[in-house]
Amino acid sequence: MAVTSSAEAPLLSIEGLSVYYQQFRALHGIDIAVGQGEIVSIIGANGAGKSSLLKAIVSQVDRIEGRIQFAGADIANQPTPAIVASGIALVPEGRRLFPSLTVEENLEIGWQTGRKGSGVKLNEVFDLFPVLREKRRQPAWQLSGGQQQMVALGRALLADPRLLLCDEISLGLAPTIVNDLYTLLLSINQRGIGIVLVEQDIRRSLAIANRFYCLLEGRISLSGKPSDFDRDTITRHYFGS
Amino acid sequence: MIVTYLNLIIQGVLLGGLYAIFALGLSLSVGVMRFVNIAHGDFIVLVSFLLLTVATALHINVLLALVLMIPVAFGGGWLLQRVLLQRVIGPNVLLPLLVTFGLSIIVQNGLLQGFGADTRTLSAGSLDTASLHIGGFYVGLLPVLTFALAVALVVGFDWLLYRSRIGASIRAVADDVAAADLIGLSSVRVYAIAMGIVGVTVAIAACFMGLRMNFDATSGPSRLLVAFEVVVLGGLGSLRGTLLGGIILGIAQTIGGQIDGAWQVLAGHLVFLLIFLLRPQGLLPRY
Amino acid sequence: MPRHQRLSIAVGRIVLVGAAAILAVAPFFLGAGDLTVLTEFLCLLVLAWMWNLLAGYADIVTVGQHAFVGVGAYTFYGTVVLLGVDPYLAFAAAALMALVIALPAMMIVFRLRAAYLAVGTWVVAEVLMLIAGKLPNFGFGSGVSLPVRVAREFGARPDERFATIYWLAFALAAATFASTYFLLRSRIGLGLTAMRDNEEAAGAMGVNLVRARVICFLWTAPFLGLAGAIITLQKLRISPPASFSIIDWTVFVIFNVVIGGIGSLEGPILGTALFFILREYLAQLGTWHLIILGTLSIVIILIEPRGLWGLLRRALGGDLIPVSHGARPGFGITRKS
Repeated sequence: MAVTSSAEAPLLSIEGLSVYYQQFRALHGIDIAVGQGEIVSIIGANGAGKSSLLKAIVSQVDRIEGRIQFAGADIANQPTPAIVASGIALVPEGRRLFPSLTVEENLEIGWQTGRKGSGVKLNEVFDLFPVLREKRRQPAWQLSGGQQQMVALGRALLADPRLLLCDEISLGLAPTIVNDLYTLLLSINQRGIGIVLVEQDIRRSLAIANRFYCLLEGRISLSGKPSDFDRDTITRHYFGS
Repeated sequence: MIVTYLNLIIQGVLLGGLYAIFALGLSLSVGVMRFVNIAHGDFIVLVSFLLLTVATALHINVLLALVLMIPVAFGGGWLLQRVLLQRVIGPNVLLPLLVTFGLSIIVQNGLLQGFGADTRTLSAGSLDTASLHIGGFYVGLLPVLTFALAVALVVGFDWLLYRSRIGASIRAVADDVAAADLIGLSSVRVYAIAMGIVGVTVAIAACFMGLRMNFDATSGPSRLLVAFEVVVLGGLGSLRGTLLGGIILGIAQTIGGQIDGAWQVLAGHLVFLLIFLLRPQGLLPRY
Repeated sequence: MPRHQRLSIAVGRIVLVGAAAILAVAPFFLGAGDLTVLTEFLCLLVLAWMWNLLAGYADIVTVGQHAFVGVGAYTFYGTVVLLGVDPYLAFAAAALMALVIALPAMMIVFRLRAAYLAVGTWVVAEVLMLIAGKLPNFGFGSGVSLPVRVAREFGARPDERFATIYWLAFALAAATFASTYFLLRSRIGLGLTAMRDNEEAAGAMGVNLVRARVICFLWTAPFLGLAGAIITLQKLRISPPASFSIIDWTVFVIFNVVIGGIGSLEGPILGTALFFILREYLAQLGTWHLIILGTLSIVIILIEPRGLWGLLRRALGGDLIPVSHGARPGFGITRKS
């Protein structure tokens, strides 16, 4: 059941995806599609399987069943470096910068793993996040949470992705910073980069999403356009009644 | 009297250069892949035997044999990592330890089988006995060259790790291997390259060890213990510490050896234990 | 549990008990040669169980346990020959001395983690061996033989002696087995097994894991020392390279436990037994013997880190020597999947 708002082939197409960690099954045969240039929001409580979904897309889980297609090509079980080099970049949960490397080195690694195309350059990232330009030679562990999130995002952008996967980027950050980040996401999207946004914060992510999926215990409990549902319905499907 | 001791210290410092070269490879594999290669010393001895074989077979100077050996050593390290060690690297430290332990025994006995139990040595012709006359002291040219090489290697490693792209990748994977894999930086590839680099240092260590001292099929473990003590003394993760650790161990052994030939090795161990008890994090720890 | 598995386990247990009973009465029907081999087997079994206790349960990998074997050997010699003490008291001295040395050794090596700790124990063993080689009354580097009068105290006739020494080894093995079994079933053992199986409950259970590891490390020392004393009695000689032999008391032992199966009481039995069987055939191969053992170890680690016993156990469906209290699947070593 792929729901896409445009007539052309989806950028990312997931069919019947199940994710296993040893014996534990985190996702149960779900279907997800992301159209060209769409922002798709994945919401759900802790443990609903949101992170597993993103990790499965970049092939960083123990075992999967099902199909994952990106820009027409099968990427399920491909090695992660190949997937990233073909245009999917992940901003991991908890940022996961390399603490002893400088800001600039962290960003450069993003470029190294990516498509190495004509996309975002280092200077552009510094234009987007001027504070990082000042701190470019500081080790990443010295940065604040918000600054680290900028580096993580910049690192992903430097990989010149066609699809950006964002895992809980608002976690632990002040509201004003989160607002800035979300504004940024919109402008990134305007360049034609698709975004999959995993968040626990329903309000913000649904506010900018074209479409959304709600995960509950590894299954899709609700999907569609945010405007099609009222708040109560969404909350009910988020928590499961 | 003082002159004698000054001479001993100089000899010790120069010996320390060789020991630092032993330790560089171990330091890299310990810092990046977080395992101690029990077979490290045995690999050094293995390459020494290979250098001897190549130099004899091709009738070339052992230093030229080293140059030929370097890409082979890189490939060997790369292959070892990709084919064998990659399978056991992970949260469980027992597995790589046991595998490299097994490798150590296999290499030692393989060398015994192939080359016999005789002690060997490498020769670079007149270089072996050439000496310099500096400020009233006679120092061997070879030890001075070895020390200079050790310093050059430390500087070179520093450049590699902190001013090159591959160095940044290596440090990134050393920081957080799971994060590297998540964003598409292949830890498998980086580890293999790192072990290739370790292989190159092993080759260099093998050459200059063989020139400096005798070796036989079972010399590996003593080289490993030296490398291990140098790495721990210097401080894990510190290149300069490795050089300093080597120097201290070299001096301890040289002075101990002067007191009594049989005390040389023991003196080194005792100094190591003493310094380790006083300063377990090492002399110049990075972390 | 399926019936055929319960049957297999019962049969397995009967075999084990039967073997132990036969071993207990071996001197009555075996000759000197066979008794010597069995004595060696029992001593190596003790070493295997001790290495396994540390590496398989307490998460302490050592490559230096030959240190305590050598300490036991030298202490036994020293107390019997130099101090003229009764040989049976000398055993106690050997055990005690090993424990005494284990304390500072532990304080040194416990500052290191994991693989560094392992090499650290190796350094300690080297130091002890080198020091032993400097002791004047012990024959320096070439060692010294045990006077025949000492051996005679264990029996006037040779066959009496072999039998007595054998029974000493058997008693040691039995004591090692029983005490280790009870240690592992005690609260300390439970905590260790839980920690090994990666349960955070280990901490919640209130077991002090640091204390548990300390106890285990110190626990092994006297047993290793006693083994060293019995080995000395059997070989009638001490020397630094022999009493502190890394190959005999560490390398072989590690290979045996790895191949037989770490993390269970049955594995070391299996591995040590296999070693002795193979030795009959492989000994004439000289260096190939060790190459084969080393290769086999590596292959086993890659295929089934739980060793041959791990493979067998899957078929049996349960432990022959139940150490865990519940239906626990067993060893926590998993390779990266």
